[in-house]
Amino acid sequence: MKYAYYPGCNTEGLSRELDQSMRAIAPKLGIELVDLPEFVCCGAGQIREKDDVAELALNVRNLCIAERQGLDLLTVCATCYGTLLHTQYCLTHDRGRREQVASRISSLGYSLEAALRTRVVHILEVFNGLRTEILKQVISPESQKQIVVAPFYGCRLLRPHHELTTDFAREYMLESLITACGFTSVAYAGRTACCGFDIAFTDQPVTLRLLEKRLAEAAASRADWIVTACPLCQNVLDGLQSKARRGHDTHALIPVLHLPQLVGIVLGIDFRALGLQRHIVPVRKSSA
Amino acid sequence: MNTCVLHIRRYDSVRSYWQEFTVDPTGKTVLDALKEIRDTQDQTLAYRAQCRSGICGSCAMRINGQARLACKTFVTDVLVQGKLTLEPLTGFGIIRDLVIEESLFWETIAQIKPWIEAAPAVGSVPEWLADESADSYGVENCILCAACQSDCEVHEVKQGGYAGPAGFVQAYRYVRDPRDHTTRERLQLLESQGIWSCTHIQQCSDVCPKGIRIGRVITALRSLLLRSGMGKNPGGRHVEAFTSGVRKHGKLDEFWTMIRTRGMRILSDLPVGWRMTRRGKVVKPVQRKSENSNELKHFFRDN
Ligand code: SF4
Ligand code: FES
Repeated sequence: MKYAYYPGCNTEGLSRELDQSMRAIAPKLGIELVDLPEFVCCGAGQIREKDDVAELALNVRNLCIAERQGLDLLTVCATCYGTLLHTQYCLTHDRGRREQVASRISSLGYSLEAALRTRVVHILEVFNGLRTEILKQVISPESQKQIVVAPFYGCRLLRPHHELTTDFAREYMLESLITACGFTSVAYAGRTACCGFDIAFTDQPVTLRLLEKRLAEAAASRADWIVTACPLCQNVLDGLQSKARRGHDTHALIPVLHLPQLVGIVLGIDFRALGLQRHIVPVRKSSA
Repeated sequence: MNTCVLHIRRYDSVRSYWQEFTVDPTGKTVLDALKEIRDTQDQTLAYRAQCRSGICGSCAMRINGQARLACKTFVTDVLVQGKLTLEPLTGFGIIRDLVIEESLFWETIAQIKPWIEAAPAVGSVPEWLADESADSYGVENCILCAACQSDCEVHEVKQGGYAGPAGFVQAYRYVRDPRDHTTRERLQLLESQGIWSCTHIQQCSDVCPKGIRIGRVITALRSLLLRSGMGKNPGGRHVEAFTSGVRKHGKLDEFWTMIRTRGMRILSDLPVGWRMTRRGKVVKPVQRKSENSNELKHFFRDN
């Protein structure tokens, strides 16, 4: 399996461990990641607020770059995923926007048709397709069963549903993957709810209240870990956790893993190679 | 007879409890089923409804944990293993059974002045601001059912000062109306009504029974604020800093976006920042760059 690999800005910066773990597990699963240095930021719904046509144009460019390689575009980030699919939705359904985008960039050699030909894939779908492969490689199924993992999807992977093509939560994709990895998955209220990342810098009290709810829900379900399909969710669930849970028992802090780290652990990849030492809420080496 | 079980959340101002009712769901909407229960099984069951055709907005309730209109939802479409749960909308007080205390909702809507102010304009409104051809995203179809408001998590945790999805939809409706001459004042008002606190959960867009693209409405309002020179707050600064980094280099400039957004508040981030630094999680002031990013300036509007 060969993909045009789109890590995204957060993954190349603050969440480098996500990129690192993805690159560490890819060869073990027969995934080839092709780096394309021309890729630009997806805009994350932020640029859209300044200039929505520009955000669409940036993603048309990204999609065209993958198309030139004849490859599907693979992302590790729910936010990039949602933004890329939002672009394809607008190109298909919104003639006005389509014309505006074309007028800005077609002279630069990017075509909307090419952008629509590229398939956008999130790693959760890929790993799900590889469940039997992962199951075969699981190193210590017995000890892993003891670990309870709470799935956290992230808003951009799920909503708005009319812009998306796969219903990850209704298909229980994260839960199936957790189970395929040999861990115990829990059903809990917070799985499809919001972490508050978008306003962590603008209205942090609200973010903290949302985080407090999410973490309390996960704790009530006796989760040892949370695993998320979005690095931005990971950033706040991990980074702001002790702030959000101030006054609660700090021993009860819950490590928050990126998806490829969870898979990497069961494939027996080294703790540091997965960047697990970079977490703010420490992941204990013995359990990983 | 084909049967199913409705689990209804009851409340009689003293007790709150679940009660089960069995009905034949064939060809019935949730509202039909409720009426049948009240007519034939329990006269005390309370719910709100008027038009029975998705127009008045009074029958919104939580059906299987999601806000929907009872009169527009067929029981068989939402049954899970022969069962269905019905609860009042969340985020409001409850008067009785499925009937919510609505006054807070109407107060919030009134805050954004949902009426036309046709007084002569003080200054002229620029053409792009009164652009009637701009997409309405369906805001004119809002029936004020409060489904979006009920399922909005920010509305739930933000203590006051938040117009919420339903408020933003109303605001956009009047901002776009060419007969209204207070566009700037309306935009200004939104800054005190929490327009920068939406975290784009998009649950509102998913539950709106009228298919209004509420997420895009909020984006459009923020865009108008920025173009009008407003948004001089962390929310607006974040969008500006984020965009200018990408425009220049193709990649997000994490360092300066954070500094410019937080301003002096960055001091309160120090404990978290210190914990992160110790773990090697540092945002470095080095700008990454995409290949051929010089062409990106053509992607952006000039102002
Ligand atoms: S925007 Fe949609 S969900 Fe919200 S009040 Fe209006 S009709 Fe109801
Ligand atoms: S009864 Fe009027 S909208 Fe349902």
